[in-house]
Amino acid sequence: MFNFIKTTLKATAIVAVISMQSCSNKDNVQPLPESSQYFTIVSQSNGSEYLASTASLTTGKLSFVGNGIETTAARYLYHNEYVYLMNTATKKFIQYKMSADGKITENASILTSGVTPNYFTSINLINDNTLLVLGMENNHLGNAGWARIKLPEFTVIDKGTFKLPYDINLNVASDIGKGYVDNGKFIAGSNRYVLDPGKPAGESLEGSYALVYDYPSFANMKLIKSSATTGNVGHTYLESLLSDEEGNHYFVVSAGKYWGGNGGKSGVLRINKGAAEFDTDYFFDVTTPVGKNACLTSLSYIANGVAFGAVQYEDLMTQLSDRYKPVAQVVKLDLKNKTAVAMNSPLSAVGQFRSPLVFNNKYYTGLVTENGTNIYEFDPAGDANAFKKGLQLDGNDIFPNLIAPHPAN
Amino acid sequence: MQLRGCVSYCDKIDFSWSCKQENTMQFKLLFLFLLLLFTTAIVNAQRSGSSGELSGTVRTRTGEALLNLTITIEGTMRTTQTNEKGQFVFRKLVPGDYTIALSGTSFGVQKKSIRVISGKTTEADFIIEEHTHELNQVTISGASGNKVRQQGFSADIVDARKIANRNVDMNHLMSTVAGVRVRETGGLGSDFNYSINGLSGRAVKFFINGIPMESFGTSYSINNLPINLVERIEVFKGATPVELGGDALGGAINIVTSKNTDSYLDASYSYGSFNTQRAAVTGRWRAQGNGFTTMANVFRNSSDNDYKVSGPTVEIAGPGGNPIPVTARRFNDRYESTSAQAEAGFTGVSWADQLLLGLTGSKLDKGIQTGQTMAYVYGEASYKEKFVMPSVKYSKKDFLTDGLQVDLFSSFNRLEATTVDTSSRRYDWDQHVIEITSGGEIGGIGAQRSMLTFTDKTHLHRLNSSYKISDHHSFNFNFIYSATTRKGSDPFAAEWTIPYRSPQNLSKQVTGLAYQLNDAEQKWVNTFFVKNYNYNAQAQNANSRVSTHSNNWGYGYAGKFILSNSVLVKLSAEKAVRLPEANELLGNGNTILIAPSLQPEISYNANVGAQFSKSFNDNVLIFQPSVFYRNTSNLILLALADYLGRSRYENVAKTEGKGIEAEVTFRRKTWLEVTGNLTYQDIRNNQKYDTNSGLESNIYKDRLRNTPYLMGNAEVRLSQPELFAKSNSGSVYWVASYVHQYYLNWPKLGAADQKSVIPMQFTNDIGTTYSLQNNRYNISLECRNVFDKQVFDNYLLQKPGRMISVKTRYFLSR
Repeated sequence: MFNFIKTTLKATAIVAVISMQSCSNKDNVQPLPESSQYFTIVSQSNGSEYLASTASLTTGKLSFVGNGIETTAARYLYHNEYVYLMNTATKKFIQYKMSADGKITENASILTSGVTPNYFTSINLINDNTLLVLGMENNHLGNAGWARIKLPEFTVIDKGTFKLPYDINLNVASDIGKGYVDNGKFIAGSNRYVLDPGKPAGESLEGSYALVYDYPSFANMKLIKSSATTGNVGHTYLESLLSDEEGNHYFVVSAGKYWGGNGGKSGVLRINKGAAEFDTDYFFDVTTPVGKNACLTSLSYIANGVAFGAVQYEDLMTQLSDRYKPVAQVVKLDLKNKTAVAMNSPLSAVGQFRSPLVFNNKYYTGLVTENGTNIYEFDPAGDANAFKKGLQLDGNDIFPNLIAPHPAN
Repeated sequence: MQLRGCVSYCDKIDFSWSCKQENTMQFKLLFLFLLLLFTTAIVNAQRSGSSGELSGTVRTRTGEALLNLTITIEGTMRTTQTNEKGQFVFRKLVPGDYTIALSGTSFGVQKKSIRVISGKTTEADFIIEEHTHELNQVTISGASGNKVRQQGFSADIVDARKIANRNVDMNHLMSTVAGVRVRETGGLGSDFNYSINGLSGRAVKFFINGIPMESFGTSYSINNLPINLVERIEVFKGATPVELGGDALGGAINIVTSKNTDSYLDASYSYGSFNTQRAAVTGRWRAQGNGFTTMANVFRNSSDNDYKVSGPTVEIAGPGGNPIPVTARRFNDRYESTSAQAEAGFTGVSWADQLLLGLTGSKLDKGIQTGQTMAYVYGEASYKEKFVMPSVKYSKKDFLTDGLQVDLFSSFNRLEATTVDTSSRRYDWDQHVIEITSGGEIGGIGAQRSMLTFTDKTHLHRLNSSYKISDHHSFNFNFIYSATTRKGSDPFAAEWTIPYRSPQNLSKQVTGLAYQLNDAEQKWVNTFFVKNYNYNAQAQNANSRVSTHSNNWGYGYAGKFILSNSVLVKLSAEKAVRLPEANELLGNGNTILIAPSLQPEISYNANVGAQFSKSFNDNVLIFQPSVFYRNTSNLILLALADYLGRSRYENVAKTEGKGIEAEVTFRRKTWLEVTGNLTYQDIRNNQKYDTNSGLESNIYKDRLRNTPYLMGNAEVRLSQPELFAKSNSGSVYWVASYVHQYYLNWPKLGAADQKSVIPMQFTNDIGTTYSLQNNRYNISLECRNVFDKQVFDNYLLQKPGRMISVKTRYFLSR
C-alpha cells in the first residue's frame, strides 16, 4: 500500500514539474539595444500579427519569438508618435503610442460598430489633428459612412452617411479608396465595375474614376473620370495616394488583370492643387517602360518628384494568389519627367507594401524573398543598384505591413 | 384534426415556422400523452402471466456485494445489472434451459447453465475472487461495456445509468473524462468541438450504436441526447475498433443506447436557470409470445440562454466612439430542439435477435448571438434545421452457422439547414439598434442579406459481422458505405455567393477486418486489424465537372494483458486515416475554393495504459496511468487563397503529440467514491520547413496554438441506500473541473504578457439526487458553476455562469 501511494505521488510530481516547465517562458521578451532612433515594425507571422520595435532598420535582426504585441490588423497607419491599426477580431480601431525609449503601448481605441458601416476601410489623414475614416457596406448598393476622429485625443468628432454611385440600370457599382481634402472638397479614388451575379467581381468599367464631395458635409457627390486607362484608383489599404511639394495630388491607378483592372496600363494620375478634375494632360504609364506587364500597386513620395513604389509582374502570375510568390519589384518613379526605373533588388511577394516608410529622404520597405524577409533601404539619389539589405526579420511566414519611426531619443 | 385546425387558423396551407411550430407543439403533447398512456398500460398488463424468473447475487469470497456488473442470457438480447446488494433478476422468462454469463475485464467470463421453470424462481449466484472485481468498476465507467473493456483499445466507458437521475449536459459530462476536452462557444445548443488526446474537430468521430452520426446534423447530435436514453458512452482514444467503421483519426465516441430488454417507461423533465428545460420520454414494449417489439423516444431541449456576459469586447460605444464596458444579457441566443424516434419489429425470435424498422426525426431552431468573438453582436440572425431518417436494422447471433453474428443497418436521411440573415438592423450589447443597413447582420462575403439553405441527402449502410471460430480465435468484419448529395440555395443572395448552388456528391467506404486471439479466460487478448478507406467526390462548377478519388489503408494492433489480480496492461497502436470532407475537397462554391488534390490526413497513434488496484479493509484504491503518442501529417487546414477573403483547404501541417493522463479512484464500501484525473498533453508543430517558402519555421516544435494542454477533474460522490425508507436512496456529489490557461496563437511568438489567451477555468458543480420506491420516482437538484466564474472555452466567447436546475424522473420497468 505504501509503495502504491509513493508511486502515485511520484507520477503526480512528474506531471507537475512538466507543466511548470511549459509555463516558464513568460518573461521571454527581447531586450532592446541602446538607440537614438527606434522603429516599430508591424508584421504578420504564422497566422497572427505582431508589433515590435527595433533599434535599427539597416542592421541586425528582429525576431517575434517571445517579442511583440499580438494583434490582428486590416488597416495600418502611423502619424507622429502613434500607430493606428484596425483590429477586425475586436472591431476596434486602436491607437498605439511609440515612445522614444522604444516602448509601444496601447493608448486608446474606438469601436467601429455604429460609427460607420462595416469597419474603417479607408483611413485618411486630413491634417495633423484629424483622421477621416470611411466604411461601406460591401453589397455594392452605394451605402457608406464617414467619421472624423480628433487626434491625438482619439475620439469621434462627428459622423454621417453618404452615397456612392450605384447605377441600377447599368448595374454598375463603385468602391471608394483613399482620399484627401483640398479646396473644400474631399476627393477619393474609386473603382467602378459591372455587377455580375455569376462572378465575384465584374469587369472594371472603362475609364478611371474618383469621387468628389463637399467637405465636411459629404454633399454634392460628383464622379470624375480619366480616360487614360481603366483601373482601380487609390486602393484603400496600399500606399496609393501622395502629394508633392506644390500641393498636387497623385493617385496610383492599378489596371492589372490580377489587381484592380482588366489587364491594361497601370500608372499614375494627377489632380492638380485646388482642382476637382483629373489633369487630362497627365498620365504616367508605368507598365510600358517597366515591362513584364507590370501593374503598379503602391507609391510613396520622397521629394522633388521622386517616389518609390512596387509593381507586380503579371507575366509571372497565372492567378491572383500568386501575389504571395516573388512577383513584385520595387520601382523608382520620377513623377515630373515620367521615367521609371525597376530596381535590381530581389523580387518579393506583394503584400508587404501596405505601409512602407519614407524617412530622412530614404525609402524603407520589407522584401519577402526565398531567403527570408529583410527591410531594404532605397536611396533616391542612386541608380537601380542604390539599395541596401538591412534588418533581418527572423523566421518564416513574415510579412511586414508597417514601418514607423518612434520619436527621436 | 390538429393539422386542419392549424390550416384554418393560418387561413391557408402555410408552411411558415409559426404555423408549423404550433402544429408541432400540439402533436408533441398528444404524442407524449399517448406514449405515456400506452407504455404504462402495456407495462402493467405484462406484469402477470405464466413464466419463470431467474435471480441471483454476485459477491466476492468475503461476501462483499458487487454493484453494476452485467449478466447476459446467451442467445437472447436480455441483459441486466447487479444492484447495490449485488442482486440481479430476470423476470418473465420462457421456461427452458439457458446459459448466463457474467463477464469482466479481470476475470474474463464466468458462465452458468440454469433451467427456468414455469411459475418458479431459479437461483444462480456467482462468487468471484477477491480484488478481481475492482477492475470492472473503474472511474465513472461502472461495469457495462464489457466487450469494449475486454479488448486492448484505450477506452473510457461512461456508465450513463449511474447518473441517469442527474440533469446531465452531455458535453459537460464528457469534459470530465480524462484526455477529453469539449469546447463550447456558449450555452445550451451552442457550437462545440471535441478533442481527444489533442486531436480535435473532424479527427473525432461520433457514433450511435456503431452508426456514424456525421450526416445527422446538429439537431440529432450527442449534446441533445437525453442521458435516460443512453446506457453508456464509449470513448476511444487513438485506435478505434473496426466495428466503428468511420475514418476517425484521433479517437471516437460511441453512444450506446439502452439495451434494456424488458418493457419499461422512462420519463424525465428538468427546469433550470435561463429558462433551460429538458424533457425526455423513452419506452419499450415487447410481446413475450411472438417477440413483437415497439420502442419510442421523444426528447426536447430548450433554453433562452440569456445569461450575463462582460469583459473584453462586451462594450458599447460612448459619445466619442470609445468603448464603454457593460454587463449585458444575451438576447438572441434562444435554443429549441425536438427529436423523436420510433421503432417497431421483432426481437428475440428464432430468426432474428432484432429486426426493427425505425423513423427518426428532429428539428432545431436557435438564435445566433455572436460571430467569431463577442465583438460581433447579432440581434435577429437565426439557424434552423430539420432532419428525418427512416431506417432498418437486423441482427442475429449464430446466423446460418454457430458463432457467426450479423448486424445490418441501412438508412436514408435528409438534412435541411437554413441560416437566416435577413435583418438589416445592427445591434449593440445594450440591445439598441445602432445602424440600419441594406445588408444582413452576419455579413459573410458581400455582407448581403441571406437565407442560405443546405440540403443533404445521405444514404448509409453498415454491415458488421463477427465469427467466433473457437474460444481463442474470432474475426470481425465491418463495412460502411455512405453517399451524400449536397445542394445550396438562397433566395436573397447574389448567385455567385451561394455555396453549393451546384450539387456536390461524396461517397465513402470504410472497410475493416479484425482478428482476435485470446486465452480461454480472456486474460490476454490480442486484436489485429486492417482498414481500407475509399472515397469519391464530384462537384459541378460553372464550366466543368470536377471529381476526385482516393484509396488508403490503415492498420493496427490492440492488446490487453491481465498480469495479476490487481494489475492490467493495455496497449494499442495504429495507422489511422481521415478522409477529407466534401467541403474540404470541393469547397462551398463561394468562400471556400475547390481543392481536388487534397490528401487524407494520416496519423500514427499509440497508447499504453495500466491499471493498478488495491483493496484494504472496506476500501478500494485504483490507479490508472496511461501515456499516448500521436504523429499526424497532412493535417488539413484552411488557408487564405485570395484577396476576396476566399480560402482553400490545404495539407499544410504536421503535429507530434505526447501525453500522460492519470486517474485515481478511491471507494469505500458503496457510500463513498472519490475520483480524480489529470491530463497533460504536449502537442507540437512538427512542420520543420515552411511549405511555401522552404524556410525553417520559427514555430517548429512549438506547442499547438489554441489547444488546451493541462486539465483535470475531480468528483466526490456520497451515496446512501435505504435512506429514510428501505426502498429509497440518496446521493450528493461535487464535481470540479480545471483547464489551464492557453494561448490563442503560437505560444512562441509575441511577448507572453501581450498575447491573446483563453483564461484558466476552474468550475465547481454540486448536486443531490433522491430516489423513491427502488428508483421509480427520482428528483435531483444541481448547481453548476457554483461560484459564478467567467468561463471561456474559446477566445472572447463567454459561457454561462451559475446555473441551478431541478430534475424529476419517473422510471417503470416490467
